[in-house]
Amino acid sequence: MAAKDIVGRWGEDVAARHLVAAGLVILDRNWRCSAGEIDIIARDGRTLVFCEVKTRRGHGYGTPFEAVTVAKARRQRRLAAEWLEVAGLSVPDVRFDVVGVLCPRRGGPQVEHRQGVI
Amino acid sequence: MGLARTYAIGLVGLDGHLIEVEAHIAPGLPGFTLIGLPDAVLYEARDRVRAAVINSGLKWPDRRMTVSLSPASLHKRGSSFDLALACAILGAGGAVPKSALADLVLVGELGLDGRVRSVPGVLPAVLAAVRAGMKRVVVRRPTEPRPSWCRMRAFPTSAVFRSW
Repeated sequence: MAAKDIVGRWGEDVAARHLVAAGLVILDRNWRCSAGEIDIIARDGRTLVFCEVKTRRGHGYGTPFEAVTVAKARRQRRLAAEWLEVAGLSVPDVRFDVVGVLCPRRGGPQVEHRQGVI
Repeated sequence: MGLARTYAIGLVGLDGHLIEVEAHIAPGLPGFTLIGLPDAVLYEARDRVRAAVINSGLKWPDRRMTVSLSPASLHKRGSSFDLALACAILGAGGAVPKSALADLVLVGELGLDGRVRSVPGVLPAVLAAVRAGMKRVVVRRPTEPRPSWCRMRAFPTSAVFRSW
């Protein structure tokens, strides 16, 4: 496993704990299909949440949120449609969130959860 | 998160039009949308303004930003809007008091380092501001003395962010 994958995996664990603490129920993690991967799928009350996690070790390459480009946001929507089809679910409310995890060299991770941003 | 408003002048030939520059910072992913019929040079202001703000030691909002130039149907061209765009965004982000911008006309191009550069057509721009009833105009510090008939209260500046 490359270093960046280990950091990414760790960031996803941190993000998942953050979401659970915020009252969301995790339904699925790292769901893959030919088009790509959805990091976290969760339920927030009646709303189904598709969550992208971005982890950064510093601001050298911009904030975690800057890493979610228009193309990646579009792909998230396509992947969500595919997940819904495979799951055979029809839900009234769907939301796309991004969780940014920053792990500075000193101190604990800083987590920011932005709702409905894609 | 917020909304701020200031003014610029759009020149059509020698005719200046007062343009309202509104900036809105909303929750969401980082992005900068500029609407209200900008030409290619004005559209590039997004990159100039971003670099100018960061290099002035201020925080560039990591949010979804929309800047609107009104009246939206008037074609706007050139780099003289840079200063107004930057200040509107800083106002919306809370770095600059909104009240300080509300009755201000800002005319100037920005360097990537945050310097205010002069633009052609400052005189017709200031004239248009006066005719529109505006009392305060920020322009680049002039290299030539101001004509005596120009009774505007002028705020010559070379780096506006540092003067705040």
